[in-house]
Amino acid sequence: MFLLAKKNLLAQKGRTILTTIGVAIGTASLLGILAFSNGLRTAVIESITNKGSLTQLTVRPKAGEAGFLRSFTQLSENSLKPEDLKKLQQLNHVEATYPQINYENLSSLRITLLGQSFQTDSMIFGLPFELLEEDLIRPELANNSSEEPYPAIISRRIVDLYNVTVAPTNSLPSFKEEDISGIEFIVLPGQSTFLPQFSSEGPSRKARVVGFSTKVDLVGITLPIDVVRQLNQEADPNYEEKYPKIFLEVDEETNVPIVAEQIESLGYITSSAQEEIQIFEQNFRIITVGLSMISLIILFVSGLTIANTFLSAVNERKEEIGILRAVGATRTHIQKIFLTEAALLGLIGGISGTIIAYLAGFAVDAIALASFPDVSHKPETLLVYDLPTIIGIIIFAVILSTVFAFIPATRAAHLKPLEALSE
Amino acid sequence: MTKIKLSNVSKSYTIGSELVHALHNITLEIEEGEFLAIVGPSGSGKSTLLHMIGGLDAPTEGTIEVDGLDLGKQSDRKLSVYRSKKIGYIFQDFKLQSHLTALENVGIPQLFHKGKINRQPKSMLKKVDLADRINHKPTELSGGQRQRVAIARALINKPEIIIADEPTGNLDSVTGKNIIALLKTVHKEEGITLVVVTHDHNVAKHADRIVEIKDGKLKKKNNFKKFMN
Repeated sequence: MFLLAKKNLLAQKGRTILTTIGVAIGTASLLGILAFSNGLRTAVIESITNKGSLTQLTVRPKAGEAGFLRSFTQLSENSLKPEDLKKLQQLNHVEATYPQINYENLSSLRITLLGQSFQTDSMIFGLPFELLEEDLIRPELANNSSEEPYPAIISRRIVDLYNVTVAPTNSLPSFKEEDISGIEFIVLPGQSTFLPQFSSEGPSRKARVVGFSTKVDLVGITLPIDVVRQLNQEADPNYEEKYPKIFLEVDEETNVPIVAEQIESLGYITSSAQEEIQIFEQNFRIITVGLSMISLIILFVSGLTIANTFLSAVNERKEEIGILRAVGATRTHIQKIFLTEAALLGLIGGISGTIIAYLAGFAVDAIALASFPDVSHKPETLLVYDLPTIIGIIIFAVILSTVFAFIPATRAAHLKPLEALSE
Repeated sequence: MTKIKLSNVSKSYTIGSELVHALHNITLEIEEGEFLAIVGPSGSGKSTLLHMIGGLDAPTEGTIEVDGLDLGKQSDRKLSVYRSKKIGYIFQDFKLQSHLTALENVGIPQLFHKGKINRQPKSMLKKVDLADRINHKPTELSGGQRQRVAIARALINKPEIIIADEPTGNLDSVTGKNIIALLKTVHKEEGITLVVVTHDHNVAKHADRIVEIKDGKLKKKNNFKKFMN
């Protein structure tokens, strides 16, 4: 039966090719869209998980009580306090806590880059470097964190921002992280280039770039927490430690929502990579469904082409149907022959569509990625094809073709043998 | 032993608003292993009769029994099985599938046959003297060769009855003679009941019995000599 169906398709090469192209285009567009969605999803999730592992949780005071502006203007009266840290440490499933402190005075940096020395205001953040171990490019330079030059970590995004906006518009060279690591610069606690009237004189410190992280804040450098604590104490002997945020390490991924709920019931707000992924997935699902619907419409049109092709084939092949009935074919046999032909068309169309989608994917990747700025965590591909999706789509193409050929096949099966023979 | 029994068979159909009586009250018995020729002018109803014996058409009135099986009472599916197991069809215009080779054309009935058949399409083509043409398509064969392929196809499922509708109608006289000789050989060797509709007296003369149908009525039941007289 299969061989007969194959021979029948080959007998009508032109029509078979055209119908197959229809199915292939539908399949390729559906697969392309799903691969693009998959690629985008993978890239975004990778970017989110880069900010913090799936077992990490960030705790902040209630919104409005702290934040960038308040920290900057030293008004963060309602930051998290050591007793809050203790509470968090005592929670079930919490394995470690990493509080962040800020240098609570104005500060600036003096740095020499590309042979030019310049000074700029910058915030100074303090974090336990255990949290940032994975982000150290030069870990050997961070071993002795209490001695100058202090190890400093810079936000990966600030480097991206410079490479994407500042460098091209000012005809400056872009930097790779490796180019900047190891560079020494001067930290000037208490001094400001923007607000010199509020500056206070104090000793300058040396620091050195040892790594880049997406966990640290954007507008400043991050030094070991002990160093920043010491700077704060030097500036104000009555310094009381407070934390704009605290990072938590939870024992298991599944416990992150439980811990988050507990913390929120204590009056804090939390955020986690898991939560971000969840929100992203919710929004992204809507986009994927929308795009898939467009592809399904294309596939549906391909299905209509199949139905039309088979309807005209039934009219043209009446005599053939009559001969088959005369030599013993039942209605079911006739139906099976037509449906097998449709399934074969779907299979060939599905496989061809997959090949087209793959080839188109290479082209899209080559063109699109070449035009992308050279940012950290730039995705290697925009289209991620996974085997279950490919197999699923090919099966779907086969089923769709078969479904659309069902009515013509049934019509063929119900032709009266003698009438069919007389054609 | 009666193989096919037609009792008061009539067939009528409408063309537009006109009622056409194709067959009137035909009663006929065909013996097992008999070679029966049905003759008559064009439009007399002989092909209609043949198709009804083959289970492709049903009588309006009367019954057709083959080995006691009343064809009029059978479902479409059972009639297909009947055609597959008992009937071998030969048509005037061969009715081969042009995109298939001789071998594939002969093998088609086996696709629909339930049960084991020991016959191979290749050996059937050898039997009809076309061993060297198995991979040829119908367009690459002469008329006689095409009809031989059709005969091989009719024989592949080891049928008990061969129904031939003007088997020499599209052939020259020499080729026609060869085809009839082949049919006679098959009929003798396999003891098949052979029912042939023909215009050709050269075909009819080989039959054990000849019946004539005129205006849908059975006119004569004779052997060839009586028929010619």
